[in-house]
Amino acid sequence: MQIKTDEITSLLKQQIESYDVSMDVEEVGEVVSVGDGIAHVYGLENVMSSELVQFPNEVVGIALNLEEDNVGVVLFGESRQIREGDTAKRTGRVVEIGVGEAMAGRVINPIGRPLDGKGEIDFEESRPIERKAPNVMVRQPVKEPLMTGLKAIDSMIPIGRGQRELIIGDRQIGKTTIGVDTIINQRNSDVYCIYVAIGQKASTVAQVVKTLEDEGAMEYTTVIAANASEPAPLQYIAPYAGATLGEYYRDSGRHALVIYDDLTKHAWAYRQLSLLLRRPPGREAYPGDIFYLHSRLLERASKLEEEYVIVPQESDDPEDAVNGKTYRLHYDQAEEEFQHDLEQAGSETHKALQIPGSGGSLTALPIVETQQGDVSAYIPTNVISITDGQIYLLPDLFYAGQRPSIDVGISVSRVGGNAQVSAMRQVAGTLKLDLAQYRELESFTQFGAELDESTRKQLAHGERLYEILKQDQHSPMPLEQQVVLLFAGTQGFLDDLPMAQAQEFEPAFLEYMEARQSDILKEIREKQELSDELNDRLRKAIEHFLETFREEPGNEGAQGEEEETEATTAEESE
Amino acid sequence: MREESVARRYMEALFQTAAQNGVEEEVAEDFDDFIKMMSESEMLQAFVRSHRIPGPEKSETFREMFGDAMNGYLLNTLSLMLKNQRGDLPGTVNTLYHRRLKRYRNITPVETITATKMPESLREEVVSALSKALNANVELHEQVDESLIGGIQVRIGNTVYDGSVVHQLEKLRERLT
Repeated sequence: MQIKTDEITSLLKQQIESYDVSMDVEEVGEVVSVGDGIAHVYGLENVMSSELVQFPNEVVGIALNLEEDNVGVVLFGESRQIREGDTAKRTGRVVEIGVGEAMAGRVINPIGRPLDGKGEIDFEESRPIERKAPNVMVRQPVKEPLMTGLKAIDSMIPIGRGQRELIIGDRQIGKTTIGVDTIINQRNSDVYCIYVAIGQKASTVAQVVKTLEDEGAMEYTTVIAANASEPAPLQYIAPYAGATLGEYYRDSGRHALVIYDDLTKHAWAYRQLSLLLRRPPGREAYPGDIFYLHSRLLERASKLEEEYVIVPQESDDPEDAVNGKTYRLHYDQAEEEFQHDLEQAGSETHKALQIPGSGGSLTALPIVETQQGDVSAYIPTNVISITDGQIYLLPDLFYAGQRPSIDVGISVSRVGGNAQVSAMRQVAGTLKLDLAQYRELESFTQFGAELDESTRKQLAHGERLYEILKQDQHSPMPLEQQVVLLFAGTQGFLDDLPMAQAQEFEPAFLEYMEARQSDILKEIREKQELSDELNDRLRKAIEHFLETFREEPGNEGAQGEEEETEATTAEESE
Repeated sequence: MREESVARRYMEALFQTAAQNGVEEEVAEDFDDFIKMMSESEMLQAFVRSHRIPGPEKSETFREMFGDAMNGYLLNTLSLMLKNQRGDLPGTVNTLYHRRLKRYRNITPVETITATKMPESLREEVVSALSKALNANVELHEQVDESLIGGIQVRIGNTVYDGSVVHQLEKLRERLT
């Protein structure tokens, strides 16, 4: 604060002089009963659903139940500060959250107040937390990949920008880790991230924030936390606040990723509110609109259409559009029209210019926790049916050391395939099938039966593929490394290595590629495609590497570990 | 709260019948008397509220007791309420009835809160201004609350018109912080 006393006085004077005495009209009601975070208010006849209601002692609430002669209001603050007979005022506003560039890197609560002790947030504008999802015409199919940096996901369950992919599984088997790793992997991309923690332990959230900070991911990430100790209404609005913040990036033509961790607890919070409001309970005591609760949230994830105008060649201002039309090229009709109009304007002297702010995306990764692997419970089935696919985590795999413990058999991505880079598609084509065949044969191995040659081969292949898919937490892998590694795996280069050596293959091989064959990696990174020629070069490189790798397994293994740490430090400094 | 919506239906039926036959004032008086009697006599209260006496019998006894003492429409309504075991409602129905009667007579109750007691001339001015604005006869209920410092707060139904000094100061504070 750098204001002098006389400045204050003059400011005050100014304010008082210009102050016009006017009557304020307020609509009020009277608190009839209060308790369990719910106040019933008599009066407030014109209050609207989900409007904010102001109580004494700075407590606010949202009007959720509008009945014949009273209004059910859920309170954001302490219900003990409100007494029977207190007046409640309408505000004419709905719950809002501040959005803006300053939000990145902060930890906030669902109404935008900072929780990280870094001072007030200088936000640009306030937006309501409940907004309508974009309609069909402004959307387009998912087409750009959102790399998670996890081999198992990027290869077999690819996620596209604007997609909604559910992460589902029992407690403590790495659901949050997948989300956090995905955020970390956006380090070198243009995706802004939002991590919404709903009903979690404050210590867990602190842990996530620390991980993100350590990995340098906090710069482009906002954490919205409504911890378990927070009142249920705050937990209820948290994911919507996250979606609004994500929409801010999306609507300014950028890309955002939001992780809702987790929607099971969100449903619990809403169930609590509904039951206290005396709404009739349905299946598993959830209210009837629990499906709508999640579908309207996840519908807000979207890939928006790029919009173009025709402008003169030298112009960069969409105001200069020659015919005032905007074109959405995704539709065939529009493309024909566009070509026609461009030719008419003169295709030599004119060009297409993308309108700034169009073409953004908001990707959602909701997380749902199951009990004992039961995906047919109410909330899991609901969210599975809303999302565009799910990543299913299995405790058995997790405890067997297969981490991330993704069950690639029943995990799917319904739309991400279109968005997958072709290099990845080329190497991962047979991966899913090979793994499926392996799982089918796996049971035979347990009998110690005599197996024929081809079965043994297939088993060895599958076993090594699974080995390759293992990945440490918080160490996302860039696309080109994933591609060469999976190439080696699917082409069977590892099949005749002993298992112990196969485990050491990855770090040593990647080190070798970085050191000796960086041009191959570079080409994959830039072209995102494996040409026949590149294919051969890669094949030769792997063969060359294997010659030396086979000779000195012990040395290579130990060395490999060292080199891997070096490789990651090198990557960070990049 | 549910109670009130039930009471409103009895009240509306009673009021409309009474108003059609031009006896709404008489009903109001008799109703007040009955409520008063009930508050004075514990026996009557117990009788009206008890759920152990079967409805039809209660209604019959009630008719015998009050047969000549009150307006026929009121008697019918009350005995119907007793027959339906709604003995807890008459108080609420009475309150609602009076509110309805005021609306019928185009009387709007207005509550004013001022820091000091209003002088007679000012009160008249307030009443005439309000009557004009509301296009109704104003029934003024005055309250004095020193914490207002100055100015006036007018409350009509659920709407508050706040012109008090304390509110202006509050607004000033909000603007300065």
